[in-house]
Formats: sequence, C-alpha cells, structure tokens
Amino acid sequence: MESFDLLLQGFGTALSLQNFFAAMFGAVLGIIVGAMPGLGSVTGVALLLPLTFGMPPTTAIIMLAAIYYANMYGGSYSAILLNIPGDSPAVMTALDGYPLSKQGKAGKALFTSNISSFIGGTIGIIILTFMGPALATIGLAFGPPEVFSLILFALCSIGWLLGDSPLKGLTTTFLGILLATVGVSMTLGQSRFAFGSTNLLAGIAFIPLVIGMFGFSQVMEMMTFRKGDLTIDKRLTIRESLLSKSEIKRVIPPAIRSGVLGTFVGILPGAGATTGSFMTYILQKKIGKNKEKMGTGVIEGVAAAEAGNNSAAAGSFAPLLSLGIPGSGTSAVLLGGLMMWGLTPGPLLVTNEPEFFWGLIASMYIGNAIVLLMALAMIPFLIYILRVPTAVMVPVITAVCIVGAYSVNNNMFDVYMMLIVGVIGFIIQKYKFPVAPLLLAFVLTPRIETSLRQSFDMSMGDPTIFFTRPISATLLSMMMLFFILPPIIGLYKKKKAETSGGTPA
Amino acid sequence: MTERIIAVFLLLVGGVWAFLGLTEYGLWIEDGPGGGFIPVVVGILLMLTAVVVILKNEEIKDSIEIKAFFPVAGVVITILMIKFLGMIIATGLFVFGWLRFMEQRTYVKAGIIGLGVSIFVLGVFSLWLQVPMPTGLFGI
Repeated sequence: MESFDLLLQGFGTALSLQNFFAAMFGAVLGIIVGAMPGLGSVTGVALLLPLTFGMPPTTAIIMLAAIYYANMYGGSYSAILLNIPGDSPAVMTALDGYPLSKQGKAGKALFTSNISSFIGGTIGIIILTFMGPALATIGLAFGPPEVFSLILFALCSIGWLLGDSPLKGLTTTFLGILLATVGVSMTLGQSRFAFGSTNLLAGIAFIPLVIGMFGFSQVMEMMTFRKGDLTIDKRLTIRESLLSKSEIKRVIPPAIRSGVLGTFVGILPGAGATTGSFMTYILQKKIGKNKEKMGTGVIEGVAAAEAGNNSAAAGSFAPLLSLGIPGSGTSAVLLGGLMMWGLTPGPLLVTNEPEFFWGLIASMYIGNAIVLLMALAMIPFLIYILRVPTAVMVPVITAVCIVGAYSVNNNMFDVYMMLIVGVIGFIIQKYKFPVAPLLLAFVLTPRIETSLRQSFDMSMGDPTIFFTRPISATLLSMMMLFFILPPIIGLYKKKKAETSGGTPA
Repeated sequence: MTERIIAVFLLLVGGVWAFLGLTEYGLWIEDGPGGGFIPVVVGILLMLTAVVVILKNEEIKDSIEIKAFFPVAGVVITILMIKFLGMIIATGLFVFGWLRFMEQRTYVKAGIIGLGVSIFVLGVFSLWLQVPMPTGLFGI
C-alpha cells in the first residue's frame, strides 16, 4: 500500500499548475507532431529537448513524456487519412485505417483509434505503476556484472529486433558504441579519439547528435516526400465519428487484449511501440473475431494496432526508469535528457527521487485523459493540420535544428556536428541501416564500459564472474539464444518446406 | 554501389578505432579492460559486419535524389550568415529566402513566416532560456 500513498502524492505533484500545463502543452504538441507526415516521436522529442532546459526536471520530463504518448495518437491520423503513417508505430494502423477512410468511415476510424489508444495507454500505465517499482527491486540486487550483462543483452536484442536487417542493426549498434568512446573515458580518465580537436575532448554531445540523426535527416527526407491524397475533403464532425454501441463492443475486447500484450512487449529491452503494434495486430489477426476481414478496413484492426503502440510506449517507461535501459529510440532520447538534468535512471531513482518517479507516473494517468479529450476535440481540425505543406515545414524545422543544436553548449561546433550527423544519418537510413540502435548504443556505452571495468576490479581480472553469478549467467544465456535461434528456425523452416515440396514462405 | 561505399567507410572507422585502441589507449591494464578494450573489440566487430554487408551486396533501389541535399546547402549558407548577421536575423532570413526563392511564395507570406521564426528564436531561446546567441554586425 506504500506505493499507493506515493502514487497519491505523485498526483499532487502532477496536478501542480506548472506540471499540468506542461502535460497539456506536450499533449497538443505531440498530437500535431505525430499527425504531420514525416515527423515522429523521436524527432519531436529531440527538437523540443533544448526547450526544456529552462524547466525543473520533473516538469520537463512530464512534458516530453506527454509528447511521446500523444504522438501515438497523432501518428494514426495521417495513417488513416493519407495512408502515410506519421510515425513507424502507426504502420499497422494504416492497414485497416486507410481502407476504412476510403469507405467514407474516416471519422469512425479516428474515433476507434483514439479510444483504443486511451484504453491501451491506460492499461500500460497501470501495469507500469506495479512493474516499475518491482523491476527496481530486482535491479537493486544488480552489481556491475549484472548491469553489464543486462546492457549487453539489451543491445543485442535491439540489433535483432529493429528493422528488416539484423545485420545492419548490429552494424549501427557497433557504430554507436564507437562514437560514444570519443572524449574522456569515465573509468580511467584518459582522453580518447579527439583527433586533436578541443571540441571533441568532452565527447560528441548528445543533443546535436540526436537532432542531426532524427531531426535534420528527416528534413532531408521530406524534400523527396511524395504528397499523399487526403481521403476527406470536408471537415469531419464529432457526431458522425461517434461509434455505435455495437461498434464499441467490437472495439473494447481487442483493445484490452492488445493493451496487455503491448505493455509487456514494451517492457522488453529493445522493443518499443513499433514492435508492440506489430505483435498485437498479428495476435488480433490470429485470434480476433473478424480475423479474415483484417486488412480490408475493420475497426478491430485499428483498435489492436493503436492499443498496442500506446501500451508499449507506456510499458517502455518501466525498464527506462527502473533499470535505466531504454527500449526505443524515443526513450533513449528521454534517458539522455534525464541524465542531463542530473537524474540517474536506475533502481535507486524510485527510492531516491520518489517525487519525480511518482509524479511522472501520475502525470501519465492525467496526461492520457487530456490527450484523449484533445484528440477527440481535434478531429474537426485535422484536415488543416494535415494540409500544412512540407514546403513550409522544411525551412522552419531546419532553423529549429540549427538553433537547438547551438543552444546546448552555446557552441557553433555543435551545429557543424548536427549537420554532419544529419547527412550521415540520412544516407545510411536510405540504405536501410536503422539509426535507433545507434542512439541506444551511444547512450548505454558509458555504463557498459564502467560496469565492465568494475566487474573485473571485483574479480581481480577473472572473467568467469559473468557466468558464475545467476542473474548475469541467465541474461547472457538468453542473449546466446537470440543469436542461435534465428538461423536454426530458418534451417528448420527450409527443411520443412523442402519435405512438403512447397516453396518457403 | 553506395551501400558498399558506406560499408567501406564503416570498415575504416572500425579499423581506426581498433588500431588506436590497441596502440594508444591500452587493451588490458591492471587486471582489467583498459581504455582501448571496447574500441578494439567493437571496432573489430564493426569491421566484420561491414565486410558481410560488402559481400552480401543487397540491391537497394531507393536512390538518393540531389534535392535532398538542398537543406544542407541552406544550413551552410545560414552558418555563414550567422557570422555577419547573428543567429536571430540569420535564421529568419534563411526561412524567408527559402520560401521566397525555392518555394516561390509571395514576399509577404515568406516575410511573415521568416519574421515569425526570428521572433520565436529571440523570445524562446534568447529571452526565456537565456541562451547567449552569436551576434552580428548589428549587435543582435
């Protein structure tokens, strides 16, 4: 019951005027950024991070978290109305959402998306309320060898899970680790890889890297954007968007089921909202009521995908806050932000900074309700948001990238860095190298290096320390499975296809 | 082809990191990994994955259009303008110029949006967040 009291106190923090407005502002901004094709939650959070420097950490993270989960609502709008997912978690939403809006049921699809986002998000936050402290309790038992194995496990699963090509995921993970070694080493105090540049002595700054990788590279991408055709030509009214009783009955079960599954997917290291919606959509297709019609425009499909990505976004806060392990690109940016405000995410955060931890969780309950109301109220205006021409967005976002990168250290060098990283990020993404693993690796490397060194200090140079401690050994063996299983499954499938005489799917 | 160029670049990065890690920063110091340990291990891993990428040589149709690099030129010009005009004027002027000459918006429309960006930078970054912006010839 102690947690319950703390949560109530958290509501006190979250309901302070400043924090309430921060959540509201984040909600509106998140919806808009999410709705604009090409801008996703990572970009949104990255561009707005510099703006939060003037705020107390709790307020800042409340706003950024609100942007993150509100983004899941907004991302579905352009998926439904334009067939262009505003963000990768909304890819699955487009499968049923766009056919629905072509059938003239855009309003219903949007309403379904909002309601199931709310249900999924709320389930995710409820589970987070319990899982966060529980994970932190487990985390307290972690010494350096466990931390090392956990991060290694997280990094490897990230490489495998993100993107179509595990090879390229691993490649960018390695690149991220190497970039993080630039600057003074935390463990031994020596300067590395500065190549004679005084600006690099302190390492590659996090915000310019993020703004370049996710902001500026997106601007470059937008230059070649194809224009989507809006399926609506008039304002939608809330009245025609409302679902009937029987439709609500169709939406609720998949939303709840997907909410639970999505949350647990989100908690897994390396799996964020995109994987969440993917898994819940597949589940719905396997066991749902209208399963054979999935993909042709059924509201169950929209419900499963949207509840899935919102709950996974909420779930990913559990490992982020209580273990310091981000599950997605966006939570990696949040982790970077937290560290800049002097908060160290990890098991001690829950006990040492209860006001922050519970304030944030409470704000998510409130924020989620605010986002739902805002999202419903915005349905009639969506047509205007989606019509903002990319032609105007390109120079404006570019300007924000320049100023944002500069203002972190008041240094023009960071602007050059942002530009270079942006160009590299754009080119490698064009060739299907995912950049989220790079960012995650970049954020986690200082900790992996410190824990590695500390582990060897503990064992006097004996590497068996990683295999003789049960938690560490379990994590490392799970990691081995990640590497061994996919090729074995591939072989098995191939063999099965050969014996049945068919071609492999 | 470009994919192979990227992979060769990554191969070089991995090589430089592994080499410096081994020769400069120390692989193993006092019974534990030195500053060069992670650069060497991960540098070699990066070289390996880069080689696999080169050997696989997947065909990717998505070619890069030259248009995508226009914003890069925009940023370079803005950086030059910042030296003379300061951050606030330079960013606004960049937005104005882009909208007027690249996107053929009217002077008024481009001017309003450009001015809006300058006011945003001044209000939010200079006044609210107290970021000391680079100033130009006019002192702002």
